[in-house]
Amino acid sequence: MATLCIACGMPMEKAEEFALGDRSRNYCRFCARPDGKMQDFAEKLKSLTAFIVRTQGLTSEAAQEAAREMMSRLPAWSGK
Amino acid sequence: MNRRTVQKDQTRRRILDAAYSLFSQRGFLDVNTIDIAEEAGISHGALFLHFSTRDDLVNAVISKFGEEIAKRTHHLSESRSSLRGILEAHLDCIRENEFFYSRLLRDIHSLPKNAGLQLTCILSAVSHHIFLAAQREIENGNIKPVASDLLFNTWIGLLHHYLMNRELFVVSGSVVERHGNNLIDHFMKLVTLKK
Repeated sequence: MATLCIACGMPMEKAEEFALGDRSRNYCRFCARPDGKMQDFAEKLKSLTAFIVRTQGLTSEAAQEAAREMMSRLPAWSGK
Repeated sequence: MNRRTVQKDQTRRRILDAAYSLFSQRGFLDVNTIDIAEEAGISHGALFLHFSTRDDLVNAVISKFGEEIAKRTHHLSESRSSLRGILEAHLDCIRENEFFYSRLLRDIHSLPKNAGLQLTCILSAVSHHIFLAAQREIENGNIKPVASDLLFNTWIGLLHHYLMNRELFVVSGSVVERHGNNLIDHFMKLVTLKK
């Protein structure tokens, strides 16, 4: 059963999908900095916006709005 | 979890399931909270203990649907690595939620803005998996080098057209079942490199 990354919502099943390959972490490898710590709000907003632009070709304004909406529903960013 | 929390969760799930079922049958615009409460077997007032507005409920139903699509696509893409395999996996996911998804596409511009933003995020997750498979085949020389956004938009534009105008393509039943394989065959012909 997959658990969802608290910072981007990605399902995580295999160990390699968790930050630093560590199943005890609640965020995924895409939300981790090279040292394994979780990215902050601004970093995640930037990377999610770029992800949406790359995958659908939206304007960065439209992509950022969608990224914000997505983040507002994730436990790591509630209240931001 | 204590008994009260469990009961609260169960009622919330019943409301979400009832809303999902009614939206699938009648669309988002023709279903009110009284209908949903009745379908869930609770009082109208009790529904608002779980969702303070109808918009909150609509967003929660879409969010749950998005979570399931993300999990299913992620899981299925593990076992199918070719582009065709991923497209089949995508259609399998859509097929399971076809009536809900078709209604969502049709009604999206009349729903709260958050609903459209959520749909955008769901589509990006799907696009990501499709492109991962495509990229492997581009590297192998099987697929034309196409940008990830255009590859996805070509596929989703085709699929959404059939889903949104379903009554033009099937008398009743599933569009995906009736046309899915043809759509995949056609799309694969467009992107496959001739050898």
